[in-house]
Amino acid sequence: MNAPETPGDKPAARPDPMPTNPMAWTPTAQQLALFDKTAFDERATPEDFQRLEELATEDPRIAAAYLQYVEMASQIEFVLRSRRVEGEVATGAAFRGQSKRQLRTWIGGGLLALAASLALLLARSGERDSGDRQLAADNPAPSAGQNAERSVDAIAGAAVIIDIDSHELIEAGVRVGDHLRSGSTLAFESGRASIEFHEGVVAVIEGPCELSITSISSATLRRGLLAADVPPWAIGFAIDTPQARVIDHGTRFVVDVDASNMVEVAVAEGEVELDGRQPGRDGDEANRRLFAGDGVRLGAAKNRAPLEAGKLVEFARQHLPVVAEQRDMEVIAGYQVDFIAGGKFPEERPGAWRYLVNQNSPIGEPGGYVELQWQEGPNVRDQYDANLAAADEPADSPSGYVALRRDSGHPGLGRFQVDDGIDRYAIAAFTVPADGEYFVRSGWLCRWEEKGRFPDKYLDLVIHVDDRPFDEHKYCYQSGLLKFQADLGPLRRGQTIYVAVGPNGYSYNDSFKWGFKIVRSLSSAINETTTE
Amino acid sequence: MGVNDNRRSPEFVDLLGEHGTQVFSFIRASIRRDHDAEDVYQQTVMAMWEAFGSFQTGSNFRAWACQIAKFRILRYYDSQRGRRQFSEPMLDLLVESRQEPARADDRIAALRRCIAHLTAADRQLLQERYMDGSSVNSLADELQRSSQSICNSLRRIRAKLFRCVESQLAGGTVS
Repeated sequence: MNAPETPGDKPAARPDPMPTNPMAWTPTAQQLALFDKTAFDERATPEDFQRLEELATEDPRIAAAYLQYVEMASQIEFVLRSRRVEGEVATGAAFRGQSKRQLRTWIGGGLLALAASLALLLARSGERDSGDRQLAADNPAPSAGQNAERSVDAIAGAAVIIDIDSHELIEAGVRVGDHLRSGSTLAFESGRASIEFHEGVVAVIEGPCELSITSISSATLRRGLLAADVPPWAIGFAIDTPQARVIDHGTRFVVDVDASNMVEVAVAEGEVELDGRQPGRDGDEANRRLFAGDGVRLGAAKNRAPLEAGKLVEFARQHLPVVAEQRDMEVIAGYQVDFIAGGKFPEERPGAWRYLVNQNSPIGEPGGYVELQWQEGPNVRDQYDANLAAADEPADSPSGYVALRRDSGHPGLGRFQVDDGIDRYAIAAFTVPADGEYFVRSGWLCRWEEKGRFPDKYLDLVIHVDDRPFDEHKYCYQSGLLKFQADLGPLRRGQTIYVAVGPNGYSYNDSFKWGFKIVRSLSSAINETTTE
Repeated sequence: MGVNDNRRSPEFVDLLGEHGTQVFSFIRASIRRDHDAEDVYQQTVMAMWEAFGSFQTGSNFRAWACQIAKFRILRYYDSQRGRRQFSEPMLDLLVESRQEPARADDRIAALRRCIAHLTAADRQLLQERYMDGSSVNSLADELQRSSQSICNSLRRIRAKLFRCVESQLAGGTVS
């Protein structure tokens, strides 16, 4: 190539045009996905680059947005290294000023090559001064080893501690990443802790408090101040108090229980339901719905000052993370909620769900999947299964054990038990009804049988879309609950999401319970609608 | 080719400090492999310094620097046996596209706020990828997830941050 090496012989470069209003236009979800694939995904193809070129040629804003996307990704490392988890630490101006001083030093010494290296380092990741190092020491990130170790515990817990601001808890050995089983209680006198329930609810509690975890979507608050952020797929999350059960209907709310069992409830967003229909609890006040801005006090003496809901709401505002993603999502389907019993053949079943087994192919190749059929009657369980004539001898067929019910199921035989070496999976398939960015959320899987007697007998869970590589592949060990989710990316109407449970080699007491939800990004749906 | 003048090094350093990230982003946007992009950036900075004598003070440094970077990118493409990610017209589009250097501080501040509002799990994944330097495959092994799943999650997080930053710069709040 004979391209000139520098533009020095060209006229002075044109001045930059005026900046555009970034809100006047934003890339669609599919365009952002293309940016990301082109810049960061090794599987990007020449067709992807070509597509981006075509888009940028049609609309120059695409080129600018692509550059800003890459620049933002380059700045992530700098920001992560120079910040506390909460609070501002270093400004970009300070970062740039230091980089200049460093560069001057190097160039003054004639070490241009080193200066170039330093410039690269500074441009990409920022200067790490002693203050930043100290902050890093103050806020050590968990090591990979810690994470790996704790991921084993993750399947046994109903909730996980995600933040601690309490010396009392720290001195007691409680750490971020610790898991709370159903029935366990978190109690402390001062400070705050944040926990994430496995259904996705994030709660902040402030001492003095006593909170017992009762399930992946409920807890009992005996004392203390609690604020909860409930994503759309966890609606129904409940907090039991001495005066009433507080049931979420899609919201952020705050509950305060004092030492006299007086309960205050306030709603920051959305709606909650109070259920106080139990003996000894307040009357009408404890059986009502509260909406954003509402507050109620239960079990208080008559002469107390009126409740100031705003103070409670302020606690939520200050301490709960606001997760834009969650506000931006809608639940499209749920395995349990949508389960349709009956109908021997696919055409007899309405809806977008199908129940399958990979009878003729390994998992991941939908061409070999076949439909399960509904069975009911005096001698069979109500379930979808492979409809073997010899139901008493299911081992005759690799798919013999495969079954799906409303909240449970069983995989088929494992690859070490059959001639063709293929694990047979119980598969729930959902066909996407419209374009958009899709996710699997609030997924859980639990072996039904006694676990302790069957070490090393795992289940595995696979999520994939059509015939593309697995989006998720996890293992459910004998010790408890597996939580799962997947980011599926932009999907087109008619594409199918497969969520499958397999025997992982051997089928042996592999009955399981499970549930999950399919959610979609609202903005991606809007963007696609607008684009089209 | 311009003449190198050591007396202008403070000016060069100031301009590079102000625009270096954008120049690197242009290179990184055109070369997917990190290490190759870093090599090309180093070559570009060297070439910029050698040619700085021809740069007219007060003119558009970013455009001048990106023109030099473009030639280095094309040379890199040639070294890859002609396997180009983008055509030269596309590189020109990227050079001429508008970025906002005056708002770099605002962008970093907005990004910082947006990262603070990620979920703990998303923040953890970013830290392991960007701070610990874990590869997608090693993250997949460690977290017992597929590489595809890790890629999807990182893509979702970056897209979320991008939308959040744009919203912040437009006067919105992190929500």
